[in-house]
Amino acid sequence: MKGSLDQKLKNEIKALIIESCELDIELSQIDDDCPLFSPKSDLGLDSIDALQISIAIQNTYGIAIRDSKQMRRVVKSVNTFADFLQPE
Amino acid sequence: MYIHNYSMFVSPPVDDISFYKQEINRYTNLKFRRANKFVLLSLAGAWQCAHGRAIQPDTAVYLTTENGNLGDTETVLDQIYHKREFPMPYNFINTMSNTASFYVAQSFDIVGRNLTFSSKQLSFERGLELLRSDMGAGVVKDALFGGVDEGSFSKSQFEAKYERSFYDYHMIEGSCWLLIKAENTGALGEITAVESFGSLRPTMDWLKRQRFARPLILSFGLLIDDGQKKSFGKAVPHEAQFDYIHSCGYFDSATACGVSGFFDRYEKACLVHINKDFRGQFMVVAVEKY
Amino acid sequence: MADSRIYIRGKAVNCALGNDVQTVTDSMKAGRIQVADVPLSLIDVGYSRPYFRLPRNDSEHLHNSRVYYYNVLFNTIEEAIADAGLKPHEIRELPVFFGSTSNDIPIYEDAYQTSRHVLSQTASGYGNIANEIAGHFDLKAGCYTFTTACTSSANGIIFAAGMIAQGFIKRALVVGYDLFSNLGFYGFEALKLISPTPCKPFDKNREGIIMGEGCGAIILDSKSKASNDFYYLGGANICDTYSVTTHNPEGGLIAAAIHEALASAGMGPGQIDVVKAHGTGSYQNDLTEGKGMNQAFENQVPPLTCLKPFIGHTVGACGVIEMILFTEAVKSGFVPPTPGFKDVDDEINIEPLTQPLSIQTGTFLLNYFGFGGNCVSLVVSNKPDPMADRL
Repeated sequence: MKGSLDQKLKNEIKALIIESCELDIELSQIDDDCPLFSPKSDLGLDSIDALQISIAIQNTYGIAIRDSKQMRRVVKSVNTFADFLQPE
Repeated sequence: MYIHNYSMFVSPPVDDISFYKQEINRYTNLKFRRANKFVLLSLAGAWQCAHGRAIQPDTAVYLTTENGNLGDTETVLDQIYHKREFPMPYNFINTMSNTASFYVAQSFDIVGRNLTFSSKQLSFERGLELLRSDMGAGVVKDALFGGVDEGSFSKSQFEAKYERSFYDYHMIEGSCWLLIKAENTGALGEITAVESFGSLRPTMDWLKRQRFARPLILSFGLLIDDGQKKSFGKAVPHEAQFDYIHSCGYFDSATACGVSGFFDRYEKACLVHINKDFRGQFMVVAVEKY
Repeated sequence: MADSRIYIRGKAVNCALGNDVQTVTDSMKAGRIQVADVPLSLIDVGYSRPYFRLPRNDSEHLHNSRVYYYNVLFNTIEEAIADAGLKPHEIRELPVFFGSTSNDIPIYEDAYQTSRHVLSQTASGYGNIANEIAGHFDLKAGCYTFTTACTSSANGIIFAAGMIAQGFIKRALVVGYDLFSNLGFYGFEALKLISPTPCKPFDKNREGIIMGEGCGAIILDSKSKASNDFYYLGGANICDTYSVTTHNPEGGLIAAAIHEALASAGMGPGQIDVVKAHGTGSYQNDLTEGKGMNQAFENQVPPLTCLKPFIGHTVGACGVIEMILFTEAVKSGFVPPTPGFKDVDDEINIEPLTQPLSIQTGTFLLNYFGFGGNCVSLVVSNKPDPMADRL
């Protein structure tokens, strides 16, 4: 199953975002498709948080994001994260 | 160098960083999500010092510290060597202690000179030398000047470093700041001397030549031994001694606490603080409170 | 004016290009670049990253003992003192201005293979290394340690020069030193800042930083030793509060630092012959530095070069090391081009030198930017009269 269709995986990712970025919010407050690091997002996350999350992903799932270009593609939203971790 | 405000944020070491966040929230609603203990400790003292004072946009930040951040450095080394994982970015960024002087500047939105500075046992005094040089050159007019250290000593570490009994001291941590300006209007007091000497003799000779304001309060840094205290006491006629290390506790930026403590406790007096390092360099700081 | 100049009276350097000034200058001229491939073997990721190591014996490979750490440091300082030709009493009066990012972490790291909390239980403060320097050389003056990340030793230069100018000290030893540390190497990799390919600052296809290690020492003095010695004209340190890791994308604070440095040197933008950029090769640094320079120089940026493709980003040490590399190259008649640079990035519009520039004397701007918003710019010159061609 494609990661973006796997609700359990996406909830895991949201929990990981909340924990690694020390956010004081509920899972439901993160939208699957909402750009995580855009000024439009209410989360108030920036590029340092993107790095924090990508290392947390790497340390948890053992999948490395090797360069910053790939990172920019992967960290767009919970859906892009999920598809990166679980392409099919 | 005129002192316009001071702060004295000292406490026994606390592990829960929400303690520091609460202290900061007494003065500002800003949130410091990614800050570590050293950063929060720095902010707590700086905000207490700035409270009720207008902070100019070109104010400089001089954060003096003996040890800076230790916690995140340990965390990152643990992540690399024991968990065999990449360090978490928040932790790694905070291993650089100037993140603390940065967050102080960012929280006040001030773009002046920004420095995290250290000098073994004399960080506060040597930092004042730098500030005096900058103010003399006219490149700094206002400065937030702090002495910040976590309380990190174990008994064996303290005794190995200072050859003094751990139990004779009450260990604290602290963040004590001065708002120092070149302008004297509205000042609470001023720094009248920052002098450095290569050994004891010239220190004595200089002290004997001075005519400090009275009443004179004498205080000493940790490494000045009892015999030297006696000799200095004779050389410098004084009304009282201020043993801030015993009344407030010890941490590695204790001199900052001595100066702030003097402002807190005395009126219309002069503090002469004598300190030395392990190499036998002596430094004298004289401060007047109006 | 001539009386109040602060000269670089002596210098010594140890970096990936070599451990003496002549070799380093020759290597820059010849474009002899040696970069090692260091596997990230503490973590099971199966790849390596380039790193600029000091020339070492095999036995010293990747191992930073206390002895090795202090050998590199003391040897470099000894050479700088000898180069300055200081008399014994002048040496005794030398204050130490020390700048580093990693400080003595490299010494303690190995112990973490088997232990924990080594640093907090045994290290004794940021000021310890300067204290060791003073002890080793029997110096009887003050020690000043700057820990402002990548601008650490550049700040050492500013404050040493400031105290000499104000008459508080006569001369100063300024040292920049960073040795390889896993903390820095893995940390910068975690920030996705390290380039897998050669470092090419300002190039459209830049991929990041390559780190390096090195030690540089200079003696600043109001007396010069040789007629072509460089002297410090001015400098600025300001804080860009945009972000702890990057500068304002518009480059405004970087431009302000350059303006302030020029003003403190009594110079205008038109009097700068060449700029040594900070030029780390990271996406953000080059973007913000490029925008800042275009603002400060009103889109007429003088010829510009970057030294990190030769020696790596020596973090806190780069302030002193790159000042030595740059000024020594000029003294021997050239400014080196920026290795690896090919394609202009239209977003930045900065084009570093691709060929050496012949020059013997001039007035130069040296940029250093770093984490914690620290922006430092310095102005140095070796012209007999830097104001001569002032408009």
